[in-house]
Amino acid sequence: MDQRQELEAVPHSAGLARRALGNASVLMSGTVLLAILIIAVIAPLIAPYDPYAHDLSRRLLPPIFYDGFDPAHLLGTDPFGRDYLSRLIYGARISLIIGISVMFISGLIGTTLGLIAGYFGGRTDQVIMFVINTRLALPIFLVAMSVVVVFGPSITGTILTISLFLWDRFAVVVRSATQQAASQDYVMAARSIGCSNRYILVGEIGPNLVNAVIVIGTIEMAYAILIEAALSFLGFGVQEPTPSWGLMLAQARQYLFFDSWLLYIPGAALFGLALAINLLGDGLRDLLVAGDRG
Amino acid sequence: MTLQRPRTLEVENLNVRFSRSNGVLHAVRDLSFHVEPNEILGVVGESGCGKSMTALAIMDLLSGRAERRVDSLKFRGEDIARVSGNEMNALRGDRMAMIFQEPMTSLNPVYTIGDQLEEVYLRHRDATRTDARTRALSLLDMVGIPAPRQRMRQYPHQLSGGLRQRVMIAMALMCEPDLIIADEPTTALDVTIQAQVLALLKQLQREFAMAVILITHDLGVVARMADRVLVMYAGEIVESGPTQQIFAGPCHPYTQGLLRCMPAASTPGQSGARLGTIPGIVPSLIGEMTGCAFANRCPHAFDDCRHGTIANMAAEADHAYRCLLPAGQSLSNFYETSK
Amino acid sequence: MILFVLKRLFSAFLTLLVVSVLIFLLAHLAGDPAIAIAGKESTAEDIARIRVHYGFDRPLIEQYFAWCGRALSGDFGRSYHYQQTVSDMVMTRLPITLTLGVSALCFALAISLPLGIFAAIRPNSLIDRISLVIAVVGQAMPTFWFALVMIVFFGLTLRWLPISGNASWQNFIMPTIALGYFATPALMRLTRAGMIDALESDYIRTARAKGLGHASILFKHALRNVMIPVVSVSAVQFGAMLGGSIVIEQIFALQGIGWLSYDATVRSDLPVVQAITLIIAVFYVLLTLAADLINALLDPRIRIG
Repeated sequence: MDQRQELEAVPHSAGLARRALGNASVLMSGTVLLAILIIAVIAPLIAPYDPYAHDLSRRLLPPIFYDGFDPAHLLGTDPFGRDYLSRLIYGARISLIIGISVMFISGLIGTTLGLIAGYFGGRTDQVIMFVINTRLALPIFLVAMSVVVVFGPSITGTILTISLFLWDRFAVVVRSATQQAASQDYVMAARSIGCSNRYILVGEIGPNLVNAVIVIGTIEMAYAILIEAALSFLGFGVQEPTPSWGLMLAQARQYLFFDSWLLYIPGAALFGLALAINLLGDGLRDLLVAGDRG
Repeated sequence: MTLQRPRTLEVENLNVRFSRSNGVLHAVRDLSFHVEPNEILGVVGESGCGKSMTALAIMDLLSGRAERRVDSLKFRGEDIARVSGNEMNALRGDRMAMIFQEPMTSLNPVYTIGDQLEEVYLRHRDATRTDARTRALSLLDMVGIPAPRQRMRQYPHQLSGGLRQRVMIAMALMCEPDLIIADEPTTALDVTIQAQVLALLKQLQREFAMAVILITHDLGVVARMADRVLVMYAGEIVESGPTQQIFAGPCHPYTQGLLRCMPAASTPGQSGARLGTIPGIVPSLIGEMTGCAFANRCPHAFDDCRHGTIANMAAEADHAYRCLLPAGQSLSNFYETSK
Repeated sequence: MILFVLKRLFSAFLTLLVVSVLIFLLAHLAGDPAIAIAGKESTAEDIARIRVHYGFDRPLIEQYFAWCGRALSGDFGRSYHYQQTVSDMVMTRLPITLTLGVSALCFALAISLPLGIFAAIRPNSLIDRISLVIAVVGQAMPTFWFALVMIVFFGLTLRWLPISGNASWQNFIMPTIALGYFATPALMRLTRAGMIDALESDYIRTARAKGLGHASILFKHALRNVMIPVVSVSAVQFGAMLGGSIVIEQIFALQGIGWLSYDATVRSDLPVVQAITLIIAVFYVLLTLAADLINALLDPRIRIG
C-alpha cells in the first residue's frame, strides 16, 4: 500500500531513553516503582518501629487524616498495637519479593516453552499447547490452597505455586512472536547457512522477543502480587505475624464498620503498586513494541 | 453520443496531506486531470508517488489522518467535492467502484462470496434478494468464474487470488458504474493470471462502456491497456497524454528514464544490454517544494529547475509535460549504464 | 466440520484426563486420608479399618480408576466432615456459583463491548479515555479489596445492599460487580484493539467502497470478525471467574461452590476439594469447547479448513 509506505517514509530519530523521559506514564510509574523498591530495600532504616512489636495498650490508633491521631504513629496502629506504617513498609518487601520472583520464574518457564513451541511447531507445539490448556483448566486459588494444605504454608511455596500458574501468557505470546520471527527472511538465511537451532533461537529470534517478554513480565508481576495478597487474605499465603498487605486486609475485615481506615491503607498501597507496575508496562509497550513497527 | 457528453471525472487541484510531527507530508500536490467516458486512463509512477492516494481521495476513502483539499471534483459534470457523506455513499459502489491491490484481504473472510456480491446490489437498487442473486450469478459468469452457483456459497479463503480478484471485479460491476478505479489490480497475482485479469478488465470496459482509471507501476500494463497516461512523480503529474504519444515521444526526463527501465525499451537484438536505472532517490514529501521535484535526479537539470514554479508545456494538443526543457530535445544515452 | 468437532472433543477429553490425574495425585500427597477421616484421637485399628473400607490400601492406579469411574457416574464419595455425599453438597451450591459467574460475565460484556467498540470508533475521544481508565484501574484493582470497599460503602454506610448471604437477588449485585470488573479490562482491550484492526482492514475499505452504511460496516462487517477472539477470551474469563469466585463468595458469604471449597480446604475435607476442582476444570473445558464451536460458526476458516 502506498499510504503505509508514505507514512513510514520518515525514520524515528528520537532515542529510546529520550522517548522514555518524554513519556509521562513511564516517567511517573517508574519513579513510583523505584521509590517503593528503595523503601522496601531500606525498610529497617526508615520504619519507625519494629513491625512485630505488640503494644496492646496502644491498639487501633487512627491514622494522621483522622481526628485524635497519635503523632508517634502516622498511620495508626493495628488491633495488636503494631505500628501500621512500619508494617506497611515491611509489607512492600513481601509483595516485591513475590512479584519479582514469580515474574522471573514464570517468565523463564513460559518463554522457554513458547520458544520451543513456536520454533519447532508440529507435534512439539501441539504438546505444549495442550499443557497450556491443561494449566488454564486448573483453578489457581483452589490448587494453591490445596498445596498449602498438603505442604504447609511458606513464602517459597507461595512463589513456586503462583509461578507454576502464571507462565501461560508468556508462553502464548512468545510462541506467536517466535512463529512470526521464524518465518522471517533473516532466520531462513541463518538456517540456510547451517546455523544450529540453539544459535538461531538465542541469537536471532531471542532479541526480537525481549520487548514482548518485558511487557508481559510487568503484567504478570502485578498479577502475582495481587494473587499473593488474595491468598494471604484467605489465610493460605503468607502467615502471621509476617507483615503482608493481604494479611493486613484480612485483619481489617473484622473492623470494617468502625475502623475502615485499616482497610483503605494497605488496599491503596496494593492498588498503587499494581497500578504503577501496569502503567510502566503500558508505557514500555508503547515505547518498545510500537517502536518496532515504526 | 454527442460531444457534449460530460467528462466522467474532472479533478482540479487535488491535494492530500498528512500532518506529521516533523511537518506536513504532501502526498499529492495540485493534481488536475480528467477522465473521458469510455476510456482507460493509466496512472503510472513508482511506489510512494501518490497514485493510490489519488484514487482513495477521489473515492473519499482516505483514512482519518489524511486531509483532502480540492478546488473542484466533477463527476459526470456535477461537483462532488463538498457533498455529504451520505450522498457520497450513494455514489460509491453504484456510480463509481474500486478494485484493490490485495485480493487476499479485500474480501470479508466471514461472509460468502454471494452475500458480499448481493450486498452491493441490495444497497443501491430497489431489488429483492432473488434479483440480487441472479445479477451476482450473471456477473460471476461474465468475469469467467466457472461453476458460479457453487462459488456463490463459498468463502474467500476457498478461492485462489486470481479468482478473488475476479470476484472483486464482478463486485465493482454489480451496479454498472460509470467509473472504475483499479488500484494495482494485478500486482499481487501470478504473472500468468495477471494477463488474464487485465484482458478481462479491458473486455468488460468496452462492453460496459465505462471509464477506468488503472493505477499501476508497470509501464507494460499501461502500454497494453490505457488510452491515455498520467505519469506521476512525488505527488505531481509530470507528463500526460495519449499512450502512443507518450511511449513514442516522452518529453519529461522522468518519463524517459522510466521507459529506459523497461525491458522492452532496450534495443532488441543487442544482447547483453543492461536495463537503465534512474540514479538518486525520491525527494522528501515533507514541507513545500520549490522548482521541479525531479531536479535532483535529472541529467538535464540547470539552475532554473530548482526555483520557482515549473509550468506545464504542451508537446502536442493533448500531450503536456511539466519541464523547462523544450519538447523533442534529443537525449543522450545518459540513463543507459551499458557502455 | 465434523472432523474439527471430533478433534476438539478428543483434546477436551485428554485435558480432563490429565487434570483428573493431577487432582487425584495432589489429594493423595496430602498424607493418609484415613487419619483425616478417623480424626486425631482414633486408634490404629480404627484407621486400618477405615483404610480398608475406603480402599486406601489398594494401589494408587487402581484407586484412581475407581475414583474416576465413580466420578463419571456422579459419585464423588462422602464428605469427611459433613456426613453427606459430596455430589449432594456440590449440586445444591453449584447454581449459586453459576448464577454469579453468568451475571458477572454479562456485567463485564455489557461494559466492555459498547465501550471498547466506541473507543475504537473514536480514538482519543472522552469515551476512549474513560474506558482506558476503567481498564487500567480494573487491571490493578485487588478484587477482594474492591469487594470490601463496596461492602463498607453500599452495605455498611449507605445500607443499600445486603452484605452477606444469598437470600435474594440483591445479594448478588456486589459480588457480580466485583467479579465482573475483574474480567472487564481484558475484554475491553481486546474489543477495542480488535475493532481498530478491523476498521483499518482491507475488507472494511472494500465495504466502504461499496457505499455501505455505517451500521452495516460496523455491525455486519467489523463486529463479527471482532467477536471471534472475544468469544474465546470470554470462555477463558468465565472459567477464571468460577475459580476466582472462591474469594468473592467467601467475602460475601455467598454459599456457592467457591464458599464450599474454602470451607472444605480449611477442614481438609479432600473429597469435596477434589470434586470442586474437577468440576471447575470440566466447566472450563466445556466452555472453551463451546467457544470454539461458536467460533467455528462465526468463522468459516475454522469450519471449512
